[in-house]
Amino acid sequence: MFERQKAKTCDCADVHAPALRPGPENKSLLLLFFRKEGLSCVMLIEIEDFSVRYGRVKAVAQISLQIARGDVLGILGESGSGKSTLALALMALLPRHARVSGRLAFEGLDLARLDPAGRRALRGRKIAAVFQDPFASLNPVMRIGTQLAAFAGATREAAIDMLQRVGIGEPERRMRQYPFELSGGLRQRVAIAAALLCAPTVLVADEPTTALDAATERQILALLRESRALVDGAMVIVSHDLSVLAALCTRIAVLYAGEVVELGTATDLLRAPRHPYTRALLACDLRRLPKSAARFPTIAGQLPDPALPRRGCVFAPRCPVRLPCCAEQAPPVIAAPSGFVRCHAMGA
Amino acid sequence: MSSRPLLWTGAICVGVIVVSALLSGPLAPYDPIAIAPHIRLLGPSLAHLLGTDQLGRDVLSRVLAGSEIALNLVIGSVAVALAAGIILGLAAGYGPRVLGGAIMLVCDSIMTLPMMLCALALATVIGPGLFTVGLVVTAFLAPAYARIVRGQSQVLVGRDYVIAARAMGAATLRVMLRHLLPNMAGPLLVQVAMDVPTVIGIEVGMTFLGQGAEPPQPSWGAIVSDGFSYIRVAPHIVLAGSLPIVIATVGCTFLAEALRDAMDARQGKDGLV
Amino acid sequence: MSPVLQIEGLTIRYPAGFMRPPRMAVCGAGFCIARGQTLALVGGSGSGKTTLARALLGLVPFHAGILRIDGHQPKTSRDRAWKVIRQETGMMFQDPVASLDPRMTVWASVAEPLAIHGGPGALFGRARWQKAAAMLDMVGLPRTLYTSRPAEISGGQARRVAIARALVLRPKLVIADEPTAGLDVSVQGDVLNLLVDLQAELGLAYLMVTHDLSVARHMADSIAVMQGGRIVEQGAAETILAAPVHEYTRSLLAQL
Repeated sequence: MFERQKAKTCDCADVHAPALRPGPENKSLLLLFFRKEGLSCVMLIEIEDFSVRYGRVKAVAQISLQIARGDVLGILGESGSGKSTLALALMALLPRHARVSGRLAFEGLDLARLDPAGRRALRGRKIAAVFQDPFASLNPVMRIGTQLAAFAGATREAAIDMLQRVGIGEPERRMRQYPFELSGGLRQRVAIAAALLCAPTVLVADEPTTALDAATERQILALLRESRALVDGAMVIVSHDLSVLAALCTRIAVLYAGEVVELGTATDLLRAPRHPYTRALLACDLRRLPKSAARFPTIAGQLPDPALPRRGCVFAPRCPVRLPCCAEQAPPVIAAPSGFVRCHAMGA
Repeated sequence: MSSRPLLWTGAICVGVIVVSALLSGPLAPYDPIAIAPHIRLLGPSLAHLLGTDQLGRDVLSRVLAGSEIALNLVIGSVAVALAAGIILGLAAGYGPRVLGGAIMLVCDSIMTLPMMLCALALATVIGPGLFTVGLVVTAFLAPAYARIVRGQSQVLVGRDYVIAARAMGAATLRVMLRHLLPNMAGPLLVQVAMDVPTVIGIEVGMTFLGQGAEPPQPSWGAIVSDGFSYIRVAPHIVLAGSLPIVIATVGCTFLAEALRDAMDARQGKDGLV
Repeated sequence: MSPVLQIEGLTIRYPAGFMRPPRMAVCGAGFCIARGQTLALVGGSGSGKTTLARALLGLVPFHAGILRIDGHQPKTSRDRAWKVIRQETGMMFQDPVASLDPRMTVWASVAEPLAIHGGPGALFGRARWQKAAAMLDMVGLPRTLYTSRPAEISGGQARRVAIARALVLRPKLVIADEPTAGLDVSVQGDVLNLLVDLQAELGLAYLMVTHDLSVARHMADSIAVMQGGRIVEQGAAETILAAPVHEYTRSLLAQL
């Protein structure tokens, strides 16, 4: 499975080219260019057969993904999909009692097996994080300026400059304020500024816009889009909202019950989703639902008990196109143009 | 859970005291106030497990009787202090702000007074005795409870379920009794558990200074106070009197800690590396 | 037929601080909702929509304007009319788990409105529990969960309990604050279907407070858009969605 993935998902267009930041529109040109030059790919984060268990509960089950430089990977999942655990693992913040198997390597270093000191050295320098609750990620008793200066050891000028770049007007005044004086949207901008200040190699954002209202969400999404240029490495965005990910990410991995069921570009996922779960999710999206719909669609059933051992396809109990073999055998990895899908019904 | 040994130790200590208090009559081998001068100041023996004091009274029986006195004192004074504290605290937290400010001013003032001096002054006015001790205890514990109740009710009043209750049309009294009090029981109980050793300490202190229990009442403070005069000749009296105080203090403190751990655990703290 | 809810020129001031001039949370709001209809009150955070919703139940005092719910018109914050209004109106909060008393079982929470408005000679004891159980059954909560506490049930289940509690007194108006907040995309349909079904069955009027226009698009008969404490645009849902006039409405629609 791993070999197959490497061949399919490693688009050499994802290599970091100093003069040109690859975006979706440049991909085809670069693809030709680098294939001709025969350059090999540089994987920033390699996740191989990675599992996380809390006691008997399996939160993440044998995930394999690769994130290259310049990639903006989106992780789409609902509650119970394991996306938060995966985000924590990428931020090197897994709690002590989490049991890890498999490999999650950042620039060759196995994050999960690193000692606490090693992980601390990476966090805030090479790996930066933005969380869902903007109030919780800022210290309520320190002024903004003090926090930014302490974080990543930035100078006052650099902090003011970054606040300006993330779109905060009157940055000098804001530096003297406390977090409670700022609105949710502003606080999230400050959190993003703090993350960008340390010039990270990887920026992980866990539900960055979920706590914000619709208008502010648009602004923060625009800000994150512009920040892609400022992150010399990769970005990972975790969200339950496909439209948020579609606006930001080059590729999206769909998580269900701790497993990646589909991986592909945003356009591919939105126009032609392959996995039944992805299709069902898109059908439930209120924005896509026609007004004439008689009932609101849902996905019947519940997530499987995460403490029980898995057999066959994890989505089978709720799948509308379930085949007899789905309950017995684990679904194969079937290559797609920009990624893969794990489904029996996709055969040929 | 790390609080388990704490919980069991505390529960056993407190249990021992409570049982000895409830069954002090049947358990006591001798009459605690019966004087027998011919066997005074005897050390611990099989006949008298904790020895006898300066008037020949069996120390073990006196200690057991003292448990009963301590239990009555604690229950009586803490119950009254709780009732007063809850009423004042709810009025301060939920009522008009001016009233709240006035109540807190009074409570804070009482808490700043030096306790022992005021206790002695009170004893001078209304005379010594266990009732005076109870009064002192109530007067000094009630403001602390009022403080907790007021603080908690200010926090809880903003919670969604309290607002929901008001939106349903619940009257103020119902909100207080059904929603506020049950949800602040935790911190209150922890404070009560922490205060029990204080109550015992006040009784011992006041009796030592002659303003507490009157002879021949066998309170723990009286035993320690009497034994103090004979500490060179018969040290077993002071030790015997101090033993239950230590057990009660250790037991209540451990129970309070275990209770606090249980409350914190419910809020879910996770250790991140 | 007279509307279930009618407000005109409603104004709510923020409590005046020390040496601070009073600011308006809501200024001059007016709309009405007829029986069986749904009005969506749409706005961002800080627009005053939640404050307005709370004022309709007397949780926040209003300083000017007229408020009429099912014919009752309270004038002061201590007016007796509020007790009747709170009986005729059910409210659902944004965070359903937080809106339930953590120490009460789900069953007791749903039975509470019956206990409050029971009155002498009305429902008490057994009849109250049975009514609450019937309501929980109607919203589709499994029987095994009746004696659970809010911390033991999922967000979707808590939302059903909140719906049951809001409807147990058969109100005429239901105020729903962000009915789909925090719900996964795959289960929000269940809650919305339930709300639609209950509206048809019980003839309820809904006031839906939301920042999400996609919910309003599907559920609302009329929409009122709020910004900075004022209603900047309102009217029938089709009209507003097809041809928005105000620029704020346009910007909201652009995200759809």
